[in-house]
Amino acid sequence: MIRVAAVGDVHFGTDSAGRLRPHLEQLAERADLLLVAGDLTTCGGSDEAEVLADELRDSPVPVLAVLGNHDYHAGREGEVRTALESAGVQVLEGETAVIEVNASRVGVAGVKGFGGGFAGACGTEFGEPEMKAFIRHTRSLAEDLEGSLAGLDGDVRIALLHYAPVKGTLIGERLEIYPFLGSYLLAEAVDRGGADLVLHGHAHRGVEKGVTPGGVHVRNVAQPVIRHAYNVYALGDGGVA
Amino acid sequence: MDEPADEPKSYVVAHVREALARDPRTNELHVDVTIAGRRVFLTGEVTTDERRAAVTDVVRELLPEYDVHNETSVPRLEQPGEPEELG
Repeated sequence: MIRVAAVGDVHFGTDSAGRLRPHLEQLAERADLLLVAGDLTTCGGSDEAEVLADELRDSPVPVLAVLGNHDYHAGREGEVRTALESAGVQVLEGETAVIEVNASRVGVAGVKGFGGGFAGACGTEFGEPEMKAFIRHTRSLAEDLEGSLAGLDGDVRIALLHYAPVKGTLIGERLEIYPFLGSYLLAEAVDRGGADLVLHGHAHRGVEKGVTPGGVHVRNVAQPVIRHAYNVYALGDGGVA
Repeated sequence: MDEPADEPKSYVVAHVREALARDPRTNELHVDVTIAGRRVFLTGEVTTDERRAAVTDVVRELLPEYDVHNETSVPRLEQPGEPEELG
């Protein structure tokens, strides 16, 4: 059994020191790794990322993260990444990592994702260049995700996203903003590439539990949703569900 | 920015939300805004006490003629519960 701790949308600011650290003291007793589903900072400042990095430094379990839209706001996403990496956090942007846990290998494919909407009510690559670029960005990231998952060598495979892959975890959000919360292209990539679990954040007013059309567990771990420092998911090592 | 007295309330709400999102003191996208007469009510959650105070400042600067009621809250984190077994 592999225990995955997960949280998203911690939105650290320069005044957030001490918000997470006390909750991580028992992390090793509860989980084998910690995955952070983007929006690590409030404004995307490297100073904010430094505060979070100090909280995560010397974590007793491996910590992996993706960036979220807030982490891009200042145009300093590279500095955000560097700050976290200096504290030992593996930041995945279309990349993968394999973590050894109790003689099992946990493969994680991480990508921010993007919006566009869900099947039947989504944007398409049509019209103005800006509209086409919007959907192309999502499609490109989804293709990265599918390729990463398909090539991932793990007993358990996890897709770590910021944006939502399904509507099921958006219940409670306003319908008008669904296209800005996620895209079906991400779920399609997961179902094609194969995974045991998808973790995402971004939808603060959504719900925790959903499933892809192909039957993969989806968990929205945005901190305003789970109301905990993190949630823990226990996965067998029997491969893709 | 002073809103004219006859500015439709929906525009005022939109301007407040835009200000809270763009102002670097807040960058908050999850504050609900309700206008009732000359009172503006702010509800929802923000991450820190400092940002909660800044929400009031930003809205007061935008709408100096309104009474600002900041009813946002800062959620306190709980320790995780039992793991969910996904098989």
